[in-house]
Amino acid sequence: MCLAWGPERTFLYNDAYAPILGKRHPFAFGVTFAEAWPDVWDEIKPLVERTFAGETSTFRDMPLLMTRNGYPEETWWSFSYSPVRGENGEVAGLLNVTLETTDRVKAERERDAATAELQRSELKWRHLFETLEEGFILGKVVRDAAGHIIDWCYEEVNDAWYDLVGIERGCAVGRTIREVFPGIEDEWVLEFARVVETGQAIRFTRQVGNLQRWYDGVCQPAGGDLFTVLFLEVTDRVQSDQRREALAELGRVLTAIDDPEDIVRAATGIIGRTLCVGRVGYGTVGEDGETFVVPNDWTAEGYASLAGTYRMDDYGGYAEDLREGRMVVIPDVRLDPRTAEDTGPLESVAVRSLVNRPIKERGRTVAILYVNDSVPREWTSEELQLIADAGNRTWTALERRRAEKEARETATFLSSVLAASTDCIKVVELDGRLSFMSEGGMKVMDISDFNAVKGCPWPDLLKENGPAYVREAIQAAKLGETRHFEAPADTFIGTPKHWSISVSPIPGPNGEVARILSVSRDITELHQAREQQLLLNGELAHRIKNTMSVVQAIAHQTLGRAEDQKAVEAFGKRLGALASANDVLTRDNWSSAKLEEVAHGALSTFGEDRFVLTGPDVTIGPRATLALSLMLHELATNAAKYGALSTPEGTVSVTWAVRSDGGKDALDLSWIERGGPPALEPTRKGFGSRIIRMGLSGSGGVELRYETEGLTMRATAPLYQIQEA
Amino acid sequence: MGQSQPLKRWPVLVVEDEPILRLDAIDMVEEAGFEAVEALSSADAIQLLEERLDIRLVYMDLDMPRSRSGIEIAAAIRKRWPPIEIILTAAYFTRDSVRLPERAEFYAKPINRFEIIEAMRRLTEGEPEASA
Repeated sequence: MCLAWGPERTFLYNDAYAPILGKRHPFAFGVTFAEAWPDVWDEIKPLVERTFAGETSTFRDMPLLMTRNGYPEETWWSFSYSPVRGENGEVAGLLNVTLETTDRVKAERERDAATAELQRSELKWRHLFETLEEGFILGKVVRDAAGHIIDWCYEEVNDAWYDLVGIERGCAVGRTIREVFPGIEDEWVLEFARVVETGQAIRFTRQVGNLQRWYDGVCQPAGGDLFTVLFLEVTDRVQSDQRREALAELGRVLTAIDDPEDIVRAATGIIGRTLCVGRVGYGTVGEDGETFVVPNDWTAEGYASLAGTYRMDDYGGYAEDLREGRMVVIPDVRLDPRTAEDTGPLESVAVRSLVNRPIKERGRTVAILYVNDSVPREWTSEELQLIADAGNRTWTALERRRAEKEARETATFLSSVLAASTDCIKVVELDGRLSFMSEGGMKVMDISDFNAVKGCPWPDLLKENGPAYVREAIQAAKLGETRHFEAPADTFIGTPKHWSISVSPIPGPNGEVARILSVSRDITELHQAREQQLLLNGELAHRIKNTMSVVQAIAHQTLGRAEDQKAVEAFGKRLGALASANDVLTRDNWSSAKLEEVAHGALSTFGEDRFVLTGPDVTIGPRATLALSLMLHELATNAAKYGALSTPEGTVSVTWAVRSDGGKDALDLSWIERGGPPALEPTRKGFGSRIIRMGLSGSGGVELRYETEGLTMRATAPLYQIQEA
Repeated sequence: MGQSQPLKRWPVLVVEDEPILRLDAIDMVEEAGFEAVEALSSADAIQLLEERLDIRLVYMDLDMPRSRSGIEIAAAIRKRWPPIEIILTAAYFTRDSVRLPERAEFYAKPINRFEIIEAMRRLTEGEPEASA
């Protein structure tokens, strides 16, 4: 404090005031106030005068420019000027209680400047915070009574965050995450709790379950119970990864599973889980293009299965698209013209949005992959691509399985057929060595171990003409031809058997003959029966001819004394013709004969050099054989008596041919005599004449021309009549 | 028939076990102008050939099941009595299926008797007259 006393205003002060004076101390003690503070006297003089007038003045943080230390400095002062009264109550002096506040004021000023700076900075950050593209949360954990973190509260949230999660701006602050997202995964609480508890930042990629969005984020501790989370939505990236992963998994699953229904189940499940839809099914369209069969489908919780059999027409508005193989994409069935008219059937099975992917093969829709959801949904091109890819892959996998199964079944079937056959089925290499023999074949050949004959030269297994036939057949097979023959061969243990053998080429992959197939059937019994029959037939033929001889003898003995010796002779000869027909027929068990052999047999007794027989290989039945034999015999007999055979130069040409007659085959046979006398029509028509006119089939069809050059006979008959038994 | 009937009727041996056929064959042999000597079996035939040295021709049926194979007998005859002509007939065989002895002729049953008569005459033509 300082004191200004008396009319001179003598300046007195205590030690505490000395520092305020700086270098003025001690000079200032005892001088006048004005001498002590010449630099501020003008400013304080009025105050001093008002104080001597009896007023008290108080000042707070009054700035004073002081040169107390030899240089001017800004100072602040809080002080009071108060009058000090003398004995008579007059103002004798002035007491100045001074407190220098320079330090405080300076501190306050610095603080204010800092505060202003902070406010500017905060504004800047908030702006940044609000314009950030990444979502940002300042959160504070919520603890239960025991101090355990059970939830957290949104303290600050930027607009980007609201936009990212797609909820109304401003509605999260002050609420907890469990309130904002009921049913949210516990990780969202537990992981951030860990950040607060450990002080360690974490990074994560996570889906908000009921929003089907994916986020990359960083959570950092922010002191105390606070933490910050910075989010970036990566749904597209994650879904793209998922789709890629789904296709990869589909690929694995489709090759690992065998059962077609399991394949469909797995494929639809992968698609359904990847796309987070309600239902995925796969069905095949029948050959008729109408029946659509869904063996099973994948459904999310709450969706009913649509497995069953449908008609393509059930798909009304878009059935045509499906038939044509066009992918049907309907984001909202209520808005699509193909479905909007009547959405009831679709919505009754929780279909509000759908994708149907037809799979086409050879121009026909063969299968459909369908994806349903109960809410409207915009399908991205990536999702549609996934559906298309998955559909095609499923179809391909199923087709491959089906083909494999078919191949397996065919192989099983073929091997069971091979095993069941009692024929001896062999595969022979081109060099004639055995490389395979069927199970049944080993049985009939009495072979217990194929190795015993494997690699043996096949021709050596046969007897008699067998080896030659086999070699010929192998050569033929190499040229792509098939051969059949019969040959004897002993079984492995030496039982003699007779075989009917068929040898054919087995083509290799390029169509060339790779190996040879031989199928041998045991015809031992048939062969024996055939030999037996041959023997019996021979015996029968012999007896018939013997009987004919006896008949002939009786006839001769009966008629031998008669006038007409010629009749007896003719009878004998006719009997001979009958016997020759019998001979020819005996060769093939009386079932058929070759025309040439019949003609030859009938004419041989008339001299073989007199006849020219020309015609194709034609087989005729037993009746025609008898008729032809007798007819040729009569013609030859007549020719010998009156025709070409009555002269040494005369000849007869017998010609036959098969021609098509109005769709049916007919046999023509002609008998032309040349080199003999002119032919004359007989006046008397006897038995011989009648036999000739009966023709080939016994019903005519004979034309006789008696010409100067000789007789010409043409006979014709339908081939089937000639050949019937 | 028989315009040129030989002075002596040559004996022809007919070997036939079937009675009716034998009857007819004898008839045929006689019609051809020969004397028929009949044998009922091959054994019979051999015995007769041994006894009757004047036989110049044998007409034999090969189908005689109760005796040795007819073709063997024929071969034996050819071997033992080379000059004797042989005419064979059979129902069971054909001309091609039997191995005929040299100079032997074969006619299938039923025979053409005129053919055989012609053959008998032809085979005995120019034969020296049998000595009594």
